[in-house]
Amino acid sequence: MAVVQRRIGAIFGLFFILLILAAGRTAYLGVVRGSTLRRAASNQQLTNETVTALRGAITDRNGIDLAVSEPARDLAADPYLITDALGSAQRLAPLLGQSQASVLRKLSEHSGFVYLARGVPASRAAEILALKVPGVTGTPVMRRVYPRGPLAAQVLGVVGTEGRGLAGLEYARDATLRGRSGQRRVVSDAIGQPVSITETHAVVPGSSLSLTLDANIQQRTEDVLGAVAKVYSPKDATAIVMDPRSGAILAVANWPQVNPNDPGASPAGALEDRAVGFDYEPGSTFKAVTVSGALQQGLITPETPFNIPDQIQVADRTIHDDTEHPEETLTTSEILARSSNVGAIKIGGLEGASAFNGWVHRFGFGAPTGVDLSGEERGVTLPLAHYSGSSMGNLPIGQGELVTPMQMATAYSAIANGGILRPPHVIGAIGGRAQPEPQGHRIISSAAAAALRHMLEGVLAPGGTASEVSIPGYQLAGKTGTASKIDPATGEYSKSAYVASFIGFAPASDPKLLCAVVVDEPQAGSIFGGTVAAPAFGQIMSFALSYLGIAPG
Amino acid sequence: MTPPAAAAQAVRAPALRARTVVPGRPFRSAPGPRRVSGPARREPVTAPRRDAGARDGLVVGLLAGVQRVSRHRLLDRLIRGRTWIALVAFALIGIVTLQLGLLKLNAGIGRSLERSALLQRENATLSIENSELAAGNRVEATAAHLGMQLVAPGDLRFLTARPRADAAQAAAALAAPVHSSTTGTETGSSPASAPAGESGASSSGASSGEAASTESSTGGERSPSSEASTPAAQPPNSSTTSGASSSVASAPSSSESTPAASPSAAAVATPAGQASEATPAGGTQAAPGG
Repeated sequence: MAVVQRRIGAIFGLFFILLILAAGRTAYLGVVRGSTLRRAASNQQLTNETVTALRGAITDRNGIDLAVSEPARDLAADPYLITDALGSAQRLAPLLGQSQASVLRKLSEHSGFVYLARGVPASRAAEILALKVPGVTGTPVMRRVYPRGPLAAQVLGVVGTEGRGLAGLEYARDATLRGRSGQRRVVSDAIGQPVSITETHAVVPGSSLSLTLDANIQQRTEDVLGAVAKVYSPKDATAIVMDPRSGAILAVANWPQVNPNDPGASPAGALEDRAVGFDYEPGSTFKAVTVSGALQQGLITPETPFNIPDQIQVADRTIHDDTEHPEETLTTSEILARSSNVGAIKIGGLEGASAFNGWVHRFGFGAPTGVDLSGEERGVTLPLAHYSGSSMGNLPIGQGELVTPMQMATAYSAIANGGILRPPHVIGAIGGRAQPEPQGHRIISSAAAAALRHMLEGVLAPGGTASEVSIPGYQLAGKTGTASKIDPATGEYSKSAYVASFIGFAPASDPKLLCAVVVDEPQAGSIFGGTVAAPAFGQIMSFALSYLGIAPG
Repeated sequence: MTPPAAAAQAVRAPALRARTVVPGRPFRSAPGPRRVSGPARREPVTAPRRDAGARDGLVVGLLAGVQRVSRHRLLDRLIRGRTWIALVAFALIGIVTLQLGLLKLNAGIGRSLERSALLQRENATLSIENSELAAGNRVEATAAHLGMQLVAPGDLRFLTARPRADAAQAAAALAAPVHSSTTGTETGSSPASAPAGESGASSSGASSGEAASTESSTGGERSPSSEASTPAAQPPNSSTTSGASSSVASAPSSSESTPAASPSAAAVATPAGQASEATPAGGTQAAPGG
C-alpha cells in the first residue's frame, strides 16, 4: 500500500513539475517574447488586403467592349533586401520586358522601395512573383485595356496608373466607372491557408457605360479620316456621325489618332476631342443658319430672287464671292447651292442684326450643346451690343464667330429633324439602365426645315459646291464650308490656312443619318470643303447607310 | 473565571453524544431549502411593483424564470446523472466539429476568392479577345477571304410591304398542295415548285443575274438560280434586302421558271414564309462589319 502511495506521489510530483515547466514556458512566451511573437504572428497570419474595385467597362451600342479592366499588379522591389542584384536583374528583365541594365539600375538604388513595373497583367505578374526574388512584391491593381487600340480614343480617354480617369469619358464619368475599393481581413494558418476571411469594407464595382457609338461606323469614320489625312496632310481633322432624330452620336472620330494603351507615345494635345474642343470659324456651313432664320421669319422663300453682284460693300468692308462672276440673279436655293457670300449677306441684311443674333443663339451657338463628352467648348459669338457696322457683312457667312464641330452638327440635326433641336448624347445606358433621351425643343417650323433640306439638296446637285459627291439611290443634302483662319501673326485672315468642312444628312426627305467632317488646315492638293471634306462625308455615309439598313430615299 | 470541570463537561456532553449516536448521517440542523453550491445567496426578494415600462417587467420575469429553472429538480438530477457526461461529450465533439467546419469553410472561401480572381482575369481576357475578333476590318477581311464582298449602297433594294396582298399570296402558297420534293424529280412547273420558288421570287424577280440564293434542303447547297416565281412566292412581309427593285418584286412573274431552276426549286420545297430572307447575286452578300 505504501508503495502505491509513493508511486502516486511520484506521478503527481512529475506532473506537477511538468505543469510548472509549462507555466514557465507560457510565461516566457507570453511575457518575455510576447510582443515580438505577436508582431510576427500579425505579419505572418493576419493580412489586411485592399480589394480593388473592378472599373466598369465601356461598350458600344452593340455591347462590343471598347474599354475593359483586367486584374494586374504593380511590381515593386526593396533594393535593401536584394542580395544578388545582377542575378535578380537577369531573371526579372525578360519577364518585365525591360532591359537588364534598366532593371539592375532600379535594383541598385539606395532606397527601400522602387517600382519595377506598374500594371503588369496578373498572369505575367504571377510568373515574376513565382521567381521568389527576395524583396520583390506585387500590389494588386486593375489595368485598363482598350481592345480596339486607337478606336474612339479621344472619346474614351485614358486612365492613369492610380486608376483614375485622366481624359475623355474615363475622366468625365470617373465616379461612375471607378466604383469603391474594399478591405478584407484574412487570417491564415501556418501554411498560409486562410482560416478566417472578414470583409471589413465591401467592394463596390464600377458601373459600366454603354455608348451610342457604333464600333463599326466609328472604325470606318476613322479610316476615312485617316485617308483624308494621307492625301491632304492637315493639321488635324474630326468627324461626327449622328442620328438627327434622337441626337444619338454614332461616331466621333479624330485625327491624328492616339493609342490609349500607350498614351505617352502620342503627341501633346492629341488626346483632345476636337469634335467638342475645336473652336473654328464655320464659314459657309453657317449660311444655312442665316437662311433658316429668314425663311422662318417669312422674309424669303426658296424661290426668292436676289440680284447678286460679284462683291458687296458693308460699312468699311468689301466682301467678294469665291469666284468672279458678272452680276446675276440667284434664288435662295441657288445662293445656298453655289455658296454665294454676297447672297448670304443680303439675306442676313434682310433679317437685321437683332433677329440674326437671335437665330444664332436659337440654334445653340455660344453655349455648350450639352453633349456628355468632356472638354466641350462653348464657342464664341459676338454679343449684339458689340456688333459693328460691318458685322452683318461677315457674320452671315460664318466669319466672326467661333463654333465647335459638335455645335454645327447639332444645328444641322435640328434642320434634319424637322426643326427640333435635340442635345446630342453619347451615353446610352449606365450600369445597364437606359438613359432617357434628352428633350428637344422646336427652333424652326417643320415647313421651314423641310424647305431648307430641299434647298441643301442643291449643294450636292449639278452646279452645287459638292456636286461630285453622290450615293446611288440616296438623296443627299448638306453644305460645304471653306473658312479662312486668322493668322495669329498678323491678326488678319490667312491666305494659306483654311478649315474645310462639310455637314450633311441623308435621305434628304426624311433624314436618318447626319455626318459632319471638319478638316483643319489641309496642306496639299485642295483646301475647299467640297473637295476635301465632302468626299469623306460621302464615303462615311455610303458605309453607314447600308450598314444601318437605311432605305434609299 | 474558569468554570468547574464538571460544568464544562456537562456543556460539551450533548455534542459528543450526538456524534456518537448518528456518526454516518449528515448533520441537518433544520429542514429547509436545499443547499446549492456556490456562495451563500440571499433569498430572492420580490421586486416591488413599479409602474415601470413593460420591458423592465419582462426582464425581471425572465430572470425569475431562469432562476426557477436553475433550481428545478429535474435539472439537478440531470446534472448529477450520467446523461450529463454524454451531453457534455456531445457538446464538446460538436464544438470541435463546428470549428473544423468553420476552418473548412474559410479555406473554401479562400479558394473561391482565388478562383473568382482567376475568372475575373479570364473574363477580361475573353472580353478583350471578343472585342478584337469583332473588329469590322477583321470580319471584312475574313469575309473577303471567303469570297464575299460588301454590298454597295446603290445595290441595296428594299421591298414595299403590302399587308393585304402579301398575306393573301402567302395564304395561297400555304393552300397549294406540297408534294414530296426530297426525291428531286419535281420540276419548277409542278405544284411543289410554287412554294419552293418563293425565296427566289421574293428577292430576285426579273433578271436572272439577280437570282437570290436559297438553302437547299438536301444538304445546305446554295442554288444560285432558284427563280421559279409564282404568286405564292411572295413572302408576307417582304421587307428584306434583295437584288431586284421593289417594283419588279411586287409584280412577280410565274413564267420565269428556267430549267436551271428546276432541280433547286424541287429541292427547296419549304413551306411559305420560311425563305423570306434572301441574299442578292449568288448569295455572296456579307453583313458589313459583322
